[in-house]
Amino acid sequence: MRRMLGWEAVCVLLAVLGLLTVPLLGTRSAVAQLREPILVGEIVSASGAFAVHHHGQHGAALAVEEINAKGGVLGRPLQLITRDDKSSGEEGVKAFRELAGMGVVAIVGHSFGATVLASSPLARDLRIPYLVNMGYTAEITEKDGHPYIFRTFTNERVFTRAFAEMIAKLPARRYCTIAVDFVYGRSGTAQILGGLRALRKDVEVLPGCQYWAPVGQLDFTPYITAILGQKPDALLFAGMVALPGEAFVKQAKAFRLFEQIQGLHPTLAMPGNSGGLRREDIPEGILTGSDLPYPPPRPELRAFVEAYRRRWNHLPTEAAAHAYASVYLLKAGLEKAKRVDREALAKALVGMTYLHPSHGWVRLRPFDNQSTAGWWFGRLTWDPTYGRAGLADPWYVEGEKYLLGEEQIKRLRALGR
Amino acid sequence: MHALLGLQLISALVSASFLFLLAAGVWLVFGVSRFLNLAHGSFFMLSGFLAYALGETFLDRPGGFWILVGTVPLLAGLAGAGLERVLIRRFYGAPLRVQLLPMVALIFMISDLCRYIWGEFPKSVPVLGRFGVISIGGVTFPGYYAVVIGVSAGVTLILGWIVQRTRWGRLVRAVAQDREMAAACGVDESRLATQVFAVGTALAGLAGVLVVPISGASLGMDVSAVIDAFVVVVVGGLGSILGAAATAVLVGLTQAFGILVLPQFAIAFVFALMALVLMVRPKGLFGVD
Repeated sequence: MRRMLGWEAVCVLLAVLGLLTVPLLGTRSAVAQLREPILVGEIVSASGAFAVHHHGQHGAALAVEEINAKGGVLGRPLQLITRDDKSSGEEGVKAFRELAGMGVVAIVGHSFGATVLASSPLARDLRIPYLVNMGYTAEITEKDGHPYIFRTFTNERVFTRAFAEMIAKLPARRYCTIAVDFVYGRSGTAQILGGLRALRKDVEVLPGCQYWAPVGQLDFTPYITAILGQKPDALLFAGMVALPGEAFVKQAKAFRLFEQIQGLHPTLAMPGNSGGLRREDIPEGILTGSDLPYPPPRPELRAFVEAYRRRWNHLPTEAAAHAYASVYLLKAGLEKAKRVDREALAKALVGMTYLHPSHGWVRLRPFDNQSTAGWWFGRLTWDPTYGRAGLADPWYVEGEKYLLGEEQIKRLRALGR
Repeated sequence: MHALLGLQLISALVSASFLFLLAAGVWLVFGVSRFLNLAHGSFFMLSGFLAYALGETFLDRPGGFWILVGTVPLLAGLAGAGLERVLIRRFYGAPLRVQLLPMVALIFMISDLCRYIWGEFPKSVPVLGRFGVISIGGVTFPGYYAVVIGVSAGVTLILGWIVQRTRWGRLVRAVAQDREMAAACGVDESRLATQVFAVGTALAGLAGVLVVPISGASLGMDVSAVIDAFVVVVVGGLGSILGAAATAVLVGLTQAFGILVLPQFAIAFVFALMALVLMVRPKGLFGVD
């Protein structure tokens, strides 16, 4: 009897322990799930011709670190899984597929326009929210837009239209143009000239004074001397961006071109277009613009620039600011959706208002997921505080006014189909 | 009108200066070793970045820029000699496709090295304004451009004299014309190949240091430079070094005045010239059989 009781006691004890352990194990698993990171895919041009955009990676990482330090999103930390598109559309598509297969809730991209356009149909087909942080090509949210692609910054339509409106007020009548012979070089120049001609019938591009420099060329001396010989009132060099833009400015300054001819370039003050220029290289007075102007004119931008510099020991480019804004937008979207689900996130992001360091509070338009972010304009100068090219007396134009309306977007998409 | 033509002439001569310095290296190495140095542009780019790095230390000292002009080609030449000894010579006499593989690898390696050390943004040596502005007969241009033209013209004359008048030059020409006969006569072909490779990379180094104040040192400048150099070698042919210089001037003039005459076809002019020369005179304008 005593032995029986002993065995019964052991069995009861084991059963009780078992009953207690199972829910405990369950609780541990639930806790683990709660703390399991939310995976976010990241596609970056870390190598290849457009590697300047890899600063976006630092901007996104900074935002993730800040968010995780404050408890994460929905009680879970964010984790970026990064892939390099090697500045190639094909590699970008591969990276997108791989990330989608890893179960990321969304993908943030700091690539150039062609990569974004190549990956965009995948975002639509796989129903993954794709937050684009670089690529100013209008098509991304216009003709090729869909419910799963979101652009957190402006597009080329805003700064080319606003710039055309601005330069139409100048007395200049006789123009020369020069651009690198690539997609934006042609389209940017055409859009500004088109806008200018619509507003000023007396403006002309001098015969034989519209130059297209080959991609890869960095010595523009023959073009500069030819332009000087033509003596125009103004030179539109909107399509000279990144390295060619910097080289052109330096060489033109040596020939004192901008002392004789008004220089016009809507994006030259962007860090990605003039970050390598030194004080000696910068001609004063070029009418230009940026979406990350130095010195930062807004307190939010100043705070971002300082935080970024403390973390990475260098100054941010526009890609970094856009990526930073994107990750915070993603956080807000997940909190609005209240769950980690691609479809719910895509729906939650529609029409959201968010804080962009450069642009303040802006919103995603509900019918094309295009940000209403605008553009900073001013005159090119040297910013002694941050030791780089900057904007003198900057002013801001709102993006909404220059973007296409809902009906126009619908028509473009219908034509595209 | 004459001011416009004068400006285009200056521009043509500056382009020709860089073209010659780049092409002379390719010309020498191919002539002596029958080796197509595709990585020639990489030495040009590396030298540009080296000029920037040394410029950070020396540029503010008296004659700082000239220290760069003296040092960078020397370093490039030494690097070239070392590379020739360690790697390049193993591929002499190999089929062209086998020669190309290590060169393509080298292009990527040097490019990644530059990106790793100096980052992806272009670097400049700010001396363009230090040489003032020159005005000749109503044609005003930066004094630095006169420096580039002057240095390049000086190097052309010295190189021409060395190749045509010195014993070393005779050896180079002998090996270029008939390497077996030269070897039979006791010419140390192996040593000569190293020396020629060093001179070639030093010339690329000189072009690199001179170009940085104008267009900056940047990733990607290697590929465009090597294309330009090959255009001059193809158009000029493997004749005399002065022929290569004349070809560089011709290509420079074609670029500069082509832009002035038909800007929409500016890209095509030089390649049209190359195609024409290949059709009419396949061995090049100054080439010898």
